[in-house]
Amino acid sequence: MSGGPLDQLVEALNDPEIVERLLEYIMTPDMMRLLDNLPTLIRLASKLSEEEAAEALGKLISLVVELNRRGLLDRLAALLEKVEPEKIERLVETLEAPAEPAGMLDLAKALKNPEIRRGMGLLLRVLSVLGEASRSTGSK
Amino acid sequence: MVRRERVVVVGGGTGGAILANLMPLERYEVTVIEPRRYHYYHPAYIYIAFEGLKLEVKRPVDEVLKPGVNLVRDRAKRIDLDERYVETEGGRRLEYDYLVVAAGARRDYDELPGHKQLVERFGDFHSEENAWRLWRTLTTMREGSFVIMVSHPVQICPPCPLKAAFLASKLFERRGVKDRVRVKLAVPYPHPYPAIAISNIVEPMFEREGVEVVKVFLLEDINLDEKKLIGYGGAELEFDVAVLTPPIKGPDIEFNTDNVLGDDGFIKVDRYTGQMPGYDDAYAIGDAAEIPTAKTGTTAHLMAEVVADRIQGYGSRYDGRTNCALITGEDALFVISSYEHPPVPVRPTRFKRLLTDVFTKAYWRIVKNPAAWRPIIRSYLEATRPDRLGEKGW
Ligand SMILES: Cc1cc2nc3c(=O)[nH]c(=O)nc-3n(C[C@H](O)[C@H](O)[C@H](O)COP(=O)(O)OP(=O)(O)OC[C@H]3O[C@@H](n4cnc5c(N)ncnc54)[C@H](O)[C@@H]3O)c2cc1C
Repeated sequence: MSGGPLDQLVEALNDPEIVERLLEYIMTPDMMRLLDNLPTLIRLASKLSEEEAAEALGKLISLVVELNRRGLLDRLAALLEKVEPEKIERLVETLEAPAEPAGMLDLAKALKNPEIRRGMGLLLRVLSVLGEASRSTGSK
Repeated sequence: MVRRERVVVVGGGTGGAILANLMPLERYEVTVIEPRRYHYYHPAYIYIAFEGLKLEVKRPVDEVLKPGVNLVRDRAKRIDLDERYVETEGGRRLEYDYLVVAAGARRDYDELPGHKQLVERFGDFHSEENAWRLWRTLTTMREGSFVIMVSHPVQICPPCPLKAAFLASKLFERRGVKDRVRVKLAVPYPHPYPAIAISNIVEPMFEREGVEVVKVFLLEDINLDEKKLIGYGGAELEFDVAVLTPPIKGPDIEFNTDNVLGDDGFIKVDRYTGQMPGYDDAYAIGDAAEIPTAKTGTTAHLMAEVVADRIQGYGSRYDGRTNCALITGEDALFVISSYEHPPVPVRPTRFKRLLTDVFTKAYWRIVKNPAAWRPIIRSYLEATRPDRLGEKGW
């Protein structure tokens, strides 16, 4: 009989039934994927050996936990699902393109366009909510 | 003492040896009939032909079988499924309570005129001798086309020709002749591999590697003088060196009934149990069996487990699982499928090449002591079940 506790542990681990249960526990599709990508993961993890990176990631995790606690994470996820990347792209493109200065006359003309009128409506609603929020948080 | 039930196993290759070694000898008297002195590890031929590796290709059959299993060095000639006996070429008659045919597939080099001459000239990757000949051919080839031709959709180890194309390209690169030797892979399918999930992954890799894939080439004729392969509809493919996958046939064994013989002499069985139709004491496993899955060592191994269980009264079933390694160089991927699931997308990685090499190194131990390896292999197969990996793959 073997003596030390480690020997006894090794002996127990040699039991086929234990081996099978242990392997079943460890080996999952995700584990196989993880093993496949171990070099990438190690590269990422090694970044955490820099003090600043570890600290930043720590803060990020706290932030995400806080967002989750306030129920904002699910909302954010729902919002993301609705976002259509092409529309965002068009918005960015529009913002980046050089714009001509517009006067009152242009504004009057533009207000005939139904899309612009819809946009204006939205803008006014957002302004009213913003105003309300600023009053309740006490800003002037 | 209770009489032990007699299990006669025809063939001592991958499937036959694993089955024999799984049987508890206190309850069963196990006899393996095998005409060859050696048990061959077929995947080694690829490493020989394209890497010149001196892997352990063969071991004497009696060293592969566990002590207590009887070995009859003879060829099974005729089987009477009603009277329950096997007749050998040497004139022996072996009676059984259970029969397992694990006689593999025959390579038929006579079906295509000119094929034999090609093999004599260049070699191939279907035997040790042929593999060394191909290695010599490829290490002296300086220019021209090296064609790997899948001569028929039914073949042993379907990923092997693809493996061969990748490794050939790497070999020519190492030899510094890659710009002068063109590797061409000709297949009868509309993609490099029958399964689209795998084709999608390997096709761009072949492109990067500079391997030309010739699709829908249905080989009809070999023109040795003009060094051309002739395909259906008059298609031509010139070669300087050509290797064809050999057409395969079922084992050359006569039966007292035609009911168990399928196409080309493969043995009809129930795909889940390996049982021959109409006989609950006769099974066929591995390459010899006619089942709708790739002919691979994994199939032979898993069917051996199922049949060993069933003989002992357990209700195991084979789900058609395959796990064929496709080495693409320093990486490898697996063709993972089952009867219910076509191959899932599996990307080539270092880790999978490592796993492949671990299995290769462990082969002789696995065959000798399959029961000990069973939990390890089973948990791997569970973790990589095609339905669990799903569309995301691995
Ligand atoms: C180049 C190559 C690479 C491969 N790579 C892989 C791989 O990476 N992974 C994988 O899973 N599979 C691979 N395979 C496939 C795998 O080797 C086979 O599918 C497997 O060996 C089949 O096992 P088996 O027991 O059915 O047949 P075999 O292993 O071929 O054994 C059949 C045995 O039966 C004997 N026999 C024949 N006729 C008779 C008779 N009448 N009486 C008695 N005995 C007889 C033969 O002598 C032989 O020993 C590869 C095959 C090749 C050729």
